[in-house]
Amino acid sequence: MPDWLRRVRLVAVVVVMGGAMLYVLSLNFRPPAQMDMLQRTVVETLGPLLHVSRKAAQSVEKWVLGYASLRHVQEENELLKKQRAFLESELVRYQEAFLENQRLRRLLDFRDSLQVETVAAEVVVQNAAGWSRTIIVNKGLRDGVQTDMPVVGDEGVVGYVLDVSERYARVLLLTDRDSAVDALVQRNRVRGILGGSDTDTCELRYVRSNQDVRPGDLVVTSGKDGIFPEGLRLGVVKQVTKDPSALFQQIVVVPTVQLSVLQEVLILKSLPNFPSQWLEGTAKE
Amino acid sequence: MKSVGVGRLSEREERPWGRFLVVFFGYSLLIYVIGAVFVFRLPWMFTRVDLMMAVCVEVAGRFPLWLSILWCFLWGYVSDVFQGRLWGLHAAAYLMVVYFHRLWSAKMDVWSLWYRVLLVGVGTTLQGVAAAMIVVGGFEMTGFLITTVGLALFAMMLSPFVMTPIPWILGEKNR
Repeated sequence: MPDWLRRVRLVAVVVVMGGAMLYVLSLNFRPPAQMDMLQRTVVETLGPLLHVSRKAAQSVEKWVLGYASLRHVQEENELLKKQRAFLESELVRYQEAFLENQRLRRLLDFRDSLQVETVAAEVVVQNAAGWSRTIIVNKGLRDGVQTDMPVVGDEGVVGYVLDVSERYARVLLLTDRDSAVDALVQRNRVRGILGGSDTDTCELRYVRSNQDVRPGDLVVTSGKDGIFPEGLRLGVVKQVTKDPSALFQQIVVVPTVQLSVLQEVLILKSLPNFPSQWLEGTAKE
Repeated sequence: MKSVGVGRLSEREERPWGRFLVVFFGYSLLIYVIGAVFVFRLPWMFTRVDLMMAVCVEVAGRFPLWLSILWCFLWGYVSDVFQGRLWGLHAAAYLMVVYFHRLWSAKMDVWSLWYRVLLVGVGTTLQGVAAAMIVVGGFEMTGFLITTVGLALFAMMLSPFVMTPIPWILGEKNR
């Protein structure tokens, strides 16, 4: 390429560049007006492409946001499920606490009505389905619990203390075969001995056949056995069977206390008040 | 005439004009659209980087000088048109990048990625400083300049992703 042509080309490039730059810079000083042809060309050419791209980007963004939102909803759902499970368990706990509160309140009222020093105890082990009808409660010698102390619930007599350890006591339930409580029918003061039969019911024994005992009669403690105070509810007569040839009638009594679902009891700290002749007999033996 | 800045391409017997055009129009347009549609919608100011700066660096290193200048004018102008103010800012910044590339390429490893990334950072900073001077000026520039530094760093982070396809488009074996 000749030298002069190279120079001309250089000058042309500088002129074109300078002109272009001046044109562009001049746009800074133009008052707002319609775009010039060059600008319109750029905008009209690239505008649709940018518009479509923007729409596509918005769709993608919407999808991404939707997905993110969905994930957020999913996470929220999981969280709510956990919260619900937690609240349900809390509700169950509160219901339990409420019921316990009700039971304890009734027990408290009952204790106040007894006017005897008592020890509240919780059932630790329930052995009602075993060979013997006993329960273990969480109060023992430390709490002043001794053998033969009456054990009651808010609905009536539970049994009496059979054995005691430092912190626990075994209670013989009314329904145990070895249990025996001096009882009487509240309605007509007919007396008998309430003993267990290793079932969920008791028997009122030694009631003569000519005595008037009816289903529905309330059986209470007589207070004559030296263990239970007088007037504590024992059970309700469920069934009466009279055999003309037998001396005593068969009376089935349902304990007023639901022994199978027992949770809290009161141990009456009243020492056994056995008749003196009993104690003398024991001493002689 | 052998151009200093187009090292590898100048060594070739024939320049890949078709591929140049692909980068000049196609790839540049793609990057511009990505920038306009996606990057400028990002929520933080410092993330709204000018992706074309990275293309400009590649163009400056691989295109003939006159084509590089033409690219700067064209895409700088397009950017200015859609921005609607600070006319000439983009074109000037791109031209400066081309100029710096010509200036430094004799002494630096022009094919090093670090060099090119640094050049993107310099270009972005220049652009930001110029914009700050025009828009706010004086002592109020501090905040603007902090943003500019953030922009430059972010642009440098993104630039390898923008630059990498260009040698591939141009068919360079040793990219």
